[in-house]
Amino acid sequence: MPLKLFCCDECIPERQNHVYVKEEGEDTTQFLPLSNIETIPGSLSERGCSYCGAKLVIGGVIKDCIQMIHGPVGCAYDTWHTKRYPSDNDNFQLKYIWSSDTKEKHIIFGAEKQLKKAIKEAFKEFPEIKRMFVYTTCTTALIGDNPKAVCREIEEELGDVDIFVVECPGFAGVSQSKGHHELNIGWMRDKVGTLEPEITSKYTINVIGDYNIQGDTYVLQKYLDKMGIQVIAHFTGNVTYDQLRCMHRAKLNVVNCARSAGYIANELKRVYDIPRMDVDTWGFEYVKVALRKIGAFFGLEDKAEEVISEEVAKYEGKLAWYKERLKGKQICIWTGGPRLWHWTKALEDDLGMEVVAMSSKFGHQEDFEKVIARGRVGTIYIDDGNELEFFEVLESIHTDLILTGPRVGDLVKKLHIPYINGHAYHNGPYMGFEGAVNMARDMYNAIYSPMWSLAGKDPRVVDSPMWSLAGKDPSVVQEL
Amino acid sequence: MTRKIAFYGKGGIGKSTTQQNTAAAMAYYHGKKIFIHGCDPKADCTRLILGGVAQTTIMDTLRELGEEAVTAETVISAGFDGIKCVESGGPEPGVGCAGRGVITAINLMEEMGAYSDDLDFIHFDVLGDVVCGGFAMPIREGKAQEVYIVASGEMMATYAANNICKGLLKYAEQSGVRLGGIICNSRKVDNELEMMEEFVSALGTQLIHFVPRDNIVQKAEFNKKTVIEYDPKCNQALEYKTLAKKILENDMFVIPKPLSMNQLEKMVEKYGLMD
Repeated sequence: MPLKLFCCDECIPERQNHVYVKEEGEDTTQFLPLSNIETIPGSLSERGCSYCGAKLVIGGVIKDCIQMIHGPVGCAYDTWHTKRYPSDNDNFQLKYIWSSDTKEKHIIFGAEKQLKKAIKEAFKEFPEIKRMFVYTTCTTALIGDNPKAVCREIEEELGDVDIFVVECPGFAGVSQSKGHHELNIGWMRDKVGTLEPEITSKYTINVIGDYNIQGDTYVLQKYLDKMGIQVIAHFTGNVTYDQLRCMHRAKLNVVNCARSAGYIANELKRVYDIPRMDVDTWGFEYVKVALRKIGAFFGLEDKAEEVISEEVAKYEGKLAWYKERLKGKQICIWTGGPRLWHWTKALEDDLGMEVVAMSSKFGHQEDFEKVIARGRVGTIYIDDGNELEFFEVLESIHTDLILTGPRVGDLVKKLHIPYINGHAYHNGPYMGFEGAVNMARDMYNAIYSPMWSLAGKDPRVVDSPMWSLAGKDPSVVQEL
Repeated sequence: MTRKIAFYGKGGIGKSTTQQNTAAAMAYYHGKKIFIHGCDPKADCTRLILGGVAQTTIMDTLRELGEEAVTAETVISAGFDGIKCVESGGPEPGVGCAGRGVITAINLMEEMGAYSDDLDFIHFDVLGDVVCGGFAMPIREGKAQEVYIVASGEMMATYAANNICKGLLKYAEQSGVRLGGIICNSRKVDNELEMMEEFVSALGTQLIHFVPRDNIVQKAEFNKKTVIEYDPKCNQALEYKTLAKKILENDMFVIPKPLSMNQLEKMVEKYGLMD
């Protein structure tokens, strides 16, 4: 029975095609869950929307832009600050969010004037900022506003600003994945090649699909600096708008998150003939492979080995300490999509952990091919999973830890199962050698926290260990 | 009891002219209290009643002064024979969402109790076609219970009337709205009456009145008046008086049976090619 129907899905049997349990001897040519298709009615989907995919995941990371959300004010707050991607300019992009705050009257009469007013006000309030992203949302797309025309007018009027418009209404596509696609293709079409970079090295690359979650980009940048490689642009960790306009001048595109940013790598290959190299920048062993591949491309094998041996020397002892304590621990990964295949084998090889259940919100077929190829036999693989299904998973397996988002994370806490924020991390960075150690440390802290043995105790019970820990007088407790 | 009625029909068919003349006839000859709610963004559903005065629309007030400023005093005007008039207004062509404007305007009128019980008739005068959900607002639950479609023997007007009937079908189930009949605003095309009679019987409704073409309607319009106000004794005014009476006494309310494209084309060809 390789495809699995949860009890909670009995009334929506189509869900069976989205859940796969890997068996010995099977491969993806035999069974593959359906993915990247419309959510089945009745399934409590945790997917985001196209606008969210564009703004929260990719555009909002860029460090020197006004992020103008053209729509009702709620669209702004709900994609602001829920992911931690810092920058070296005092985190400008994390501090603010801008909205054209469209109201009933703007919907009826058209919201272009309101957008224009909002854009001009924003540039006036932040005179040092000259770059902007404008996102459409459901309402403003539906009424046929033309934000591109508005932005062209403003560019002509102000002279020194550059604005990029992403047409990403929430209803487009089946998940946030459509928004990643829109932003990738739009940026390539409108902005790549409109500026020339200063070239400082023979070896130039773009790092694509790394969003500087808690400093990931800094780690990668450090390694590449040591190898003498110039990064033209990180798409989009700790990057400026203008750096991204120069992406056409790289000799190689190194792709980490292939789901959210593989599109722009493919376009750069098609238009500028820049080769695409897929790597894993998470995982102690994977990072070695990634650096060796980049080194081999440029003939910098020695440099790569130097970096690797230096970093390994620094961190392998620490990793070994955690491995001793984490091996055999069983975990679940319930995140967006690519992290399933980035992490499953890395955690197994680096730390001896076993990933027993995985769920992806928006992964495509290629993500499931990769994750099932890398994942374990007996593991449950779910597309577009939901809380009811997750609780059923937890009844059928043992898990010591779950890598997931804060919403599901807070739910599993009630079952006294620890979680680590799989989207924004607990205490990252998680990329690179030191990142692998950070991730191991966070998992160790979560699993071995004494909190879990106390969480199920009733503090009103006199012999509760809580009170003995706090040194309370039992007679006081009885009066409560 | 107040009867709420909606007028639909192809743009340019003379829908607002017919609606206003009917309203004026109801008030002048039959002593009825009428309230006209214009639901066309162009805001031209009440100008003959108000003597050409461009009314401050609900949407303009909402946009410029805010929702609190939309009161009976600011947006409702009384015109010929005490007929109360309000215009939804809306965006200029090509921007925003006029349909949303219709919804908002009707909601605001209801909230302020403008559709009061002492009225005999409320007319919703809606733009050309039911292009989206917003323009179906006047026939949603609790709003207009009867619909009159203004048509003529011209091919496109018949198509539009048939399309409106398709829209009505959906709401007939939901809200109980019924078709009260087709008003033919004659364009003096060949075999017009015969074709309209076949058309209405196929739809399962009635030709409630055949309004002949008369230039006095245009003449009155140039004077920013309905025919009833301009010359209440003229023949055309009496035609509207008859139409008003038929609507007052109407008891034939049906769920229409719209024609298929094929049926409709055959019918139009039959009369169009007749010598």
